[in-house]
Amino acid sequence: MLNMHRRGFVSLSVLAIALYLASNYLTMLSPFSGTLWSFEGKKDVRNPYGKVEVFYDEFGIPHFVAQNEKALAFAIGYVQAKDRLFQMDLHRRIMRGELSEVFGEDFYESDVFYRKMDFVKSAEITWESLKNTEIAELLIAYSEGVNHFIETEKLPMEFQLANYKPKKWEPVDTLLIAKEIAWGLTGNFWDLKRAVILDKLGDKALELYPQSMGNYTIIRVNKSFVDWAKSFESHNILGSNNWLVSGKFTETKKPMLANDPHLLLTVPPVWYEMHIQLNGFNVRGVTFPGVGMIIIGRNDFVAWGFTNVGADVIDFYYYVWNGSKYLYKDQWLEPEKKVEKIRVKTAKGFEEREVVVEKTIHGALIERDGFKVAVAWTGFTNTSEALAIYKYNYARNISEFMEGLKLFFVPAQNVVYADIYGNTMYYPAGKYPIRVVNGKEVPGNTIFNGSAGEGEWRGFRAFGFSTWEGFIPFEEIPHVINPDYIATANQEPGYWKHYLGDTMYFADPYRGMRIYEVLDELVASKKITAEDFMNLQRDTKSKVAEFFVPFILEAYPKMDDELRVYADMLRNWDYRMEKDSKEALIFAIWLEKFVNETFDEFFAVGLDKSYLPRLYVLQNLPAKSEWFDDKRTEAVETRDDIALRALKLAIEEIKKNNYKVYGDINKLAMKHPFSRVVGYFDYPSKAMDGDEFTVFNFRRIGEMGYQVGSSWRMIVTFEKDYCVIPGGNSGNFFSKNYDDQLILWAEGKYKVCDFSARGERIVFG
Amino acid sequence: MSLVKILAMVIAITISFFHWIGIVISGAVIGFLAKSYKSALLFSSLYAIAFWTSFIAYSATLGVFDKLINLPLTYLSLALTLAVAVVSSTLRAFR
Repeated sequence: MLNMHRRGFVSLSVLAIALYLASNYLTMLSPFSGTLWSFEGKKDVRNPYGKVEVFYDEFGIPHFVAQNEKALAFAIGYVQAKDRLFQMDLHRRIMRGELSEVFGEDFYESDVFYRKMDFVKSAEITWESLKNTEIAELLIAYSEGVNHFIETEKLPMEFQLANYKPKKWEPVDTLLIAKEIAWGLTGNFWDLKRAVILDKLGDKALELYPQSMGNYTIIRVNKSFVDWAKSFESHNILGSNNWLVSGKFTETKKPMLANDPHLLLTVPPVWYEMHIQLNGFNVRGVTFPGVGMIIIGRNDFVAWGFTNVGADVIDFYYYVWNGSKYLYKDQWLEPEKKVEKIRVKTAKGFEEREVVVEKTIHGALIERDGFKVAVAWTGFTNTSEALAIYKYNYARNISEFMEGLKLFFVPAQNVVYADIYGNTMYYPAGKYPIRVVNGKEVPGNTIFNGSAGEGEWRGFRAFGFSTWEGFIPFEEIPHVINPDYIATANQEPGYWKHYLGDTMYFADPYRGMRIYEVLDELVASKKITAEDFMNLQRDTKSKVAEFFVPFILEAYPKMDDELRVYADMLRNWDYRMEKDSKEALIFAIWLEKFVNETFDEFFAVGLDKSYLPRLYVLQNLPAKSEWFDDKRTEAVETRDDIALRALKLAIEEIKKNNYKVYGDINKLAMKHPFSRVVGYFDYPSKAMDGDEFTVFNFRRIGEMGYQVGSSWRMIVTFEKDYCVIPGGNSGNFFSKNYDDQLILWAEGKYKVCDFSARGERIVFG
Repeated sequence: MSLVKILAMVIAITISFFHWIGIVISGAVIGFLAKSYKSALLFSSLYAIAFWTSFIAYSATLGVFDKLINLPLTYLSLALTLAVAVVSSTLRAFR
């Protein structure tokens, strides 16, 4: 008996120890009750502001039906948290500099940078400036919705696997998400890189970075525009992935609009799709998780789309220092300082590390290896994009929409607009600084002498409230009302009186050229349909290939028989970057080698690919340019020599890796943030069409480990609209809508985007 | 088997659907009801496997079977369920 009890106590002890050790895992992984298996949510949710019905359609798109704006905002907050809370929190942590608290020391440097830039302060200033506007209560209600989810529901699995709970959501967090997007699109350090290039390679490198790439601009020869623009002393007749076509040229006689922003291809996608019906007024499109309004989309009356202008809205200032003080216009000033603590997860537990955040009169002070500059960025102040977007959502005509445009400051966007009355518009809305040195307007692509007060932006106060006097007035921003058709693809806008940025601020013109080429042809030959727009969005013809393949053929006389076989293939190619194409494979690898072999001098002095000039500049270098000469050899190489050498290298690489077609290298690899640890949450891989320069846009080598491509494709006809996102609307791994649009997107197909509220219902009330 | 024993087992299984402590109770009840240690271990194992399998079957009705079956954590869930049920069944020593 005693023996039995002893055995019992042993069993009990083993059980107790096992449960103690495994209780967290059991809570998470126990069949049925495990918190990890969040397959379904609540169907009835308390809403302090009133009733809202939410219908999830077959693609997991929520359709909100509401009679009260605050109740709607609360429900949107709750539903976005349900579908994307981890993503929302992750981006908030990036901007707040709090990644290393959860993900460890690898992210400490990132945290230090974001703290020093003090984006939180700029979001707080923005929130202060919005407190007396109509959206303040909505931002609060949205946050309450998010927090209600955090407090009452099972958290998404990522929180459990990373073992932390998100903090409360605040209106400032929503504005931080907006600042993140703005920074991602305009936080360009080119001015600094340019200074490094000049230092390493001398003034001869300047020919690679001209002020302009010529005539392939957004705004082309157009009499009505020229009549308007000449009052602003445009000196050149400049000509231009969104586009619109007026009803004059469409089958339905209504304008049509297409948009596909190229952003990081993440898991889950950067965009969240939703449809709002407020008192019968419909708005549908996409937003960033964390933002409760539609950023790109349409309503019952108007539609709008964006591409990034890319303008230079960031400047750098150096100073004369005396100890801790900097000289500013004859005064020695102490930078504004505050000490912040970063909590860092290390192998030995949590550590608190101090970061000194410093600011000068111009902006955030950043320092590395003794080089210290202040950064001024248009987003470092009170900006009103949230209000602008709100006005877009509920605009009923062009003048109401224009009221929103006036409030859109950063990131400056090429906005295309169309409405049910047949109006169209192109307006690159945003705040563009005018720099002045000694009374003369100057470009902003240099580092300014901050001590002398050079290049300052009048009316701008970093981390304070700005009045914007020294910026291009809204009315003077070159725009076009009711164009027949217009296309923007991040190319130079054209027709600007003021400096907007040099060639490195704008994309190569190839996509813009191709879109205009197709639109010109369509307009001349037929009435345009939605199918034509779809064909254009999935167009894979490479203008780059069209311009660069002749360089390979120039070298034909110097080729041996084997190389000539490859050259002949390219000679007969249709220049389409398609996954089954062998020619596209040869060209893609050749182009990479050609660029590297031409600009070997950059690599020799330690400058990586991010310092290289635009491809359009390379295309236009003379065949005997000294950049083609390899200084390591005695001979003087010209373009055909380098083209030949690149072809040999490309063929070697193809043979070595046994590549057969373009799809062997051009593969989709969309990663979840946990991908570095486990790959199970990644989207499936797939061979892809397209490249960086094709309208069907897919960049297999992107940024920060993420690929880049069309992050949302939308076609608005005002009769039947179409759209698709790369992946799925739900960020929950177990949802059937986790990646259900991926194949549609990858193959250039669409789903219908309508205003029909249908599907599984959640009632808020 | 008496009604009380059946009731105890039903209650234990019901709790298992809502909290992992139910798996501990179920294992212990099986241990108490079993005629020997060997059968306690056997039946608690079978119980754990059956319970986990029913969870997987349920997931299939929600359309997430493919995802679940490819996720290593799912098998950790099986291992934990099995271990907890089996160790709990050894509490029969108190019988």
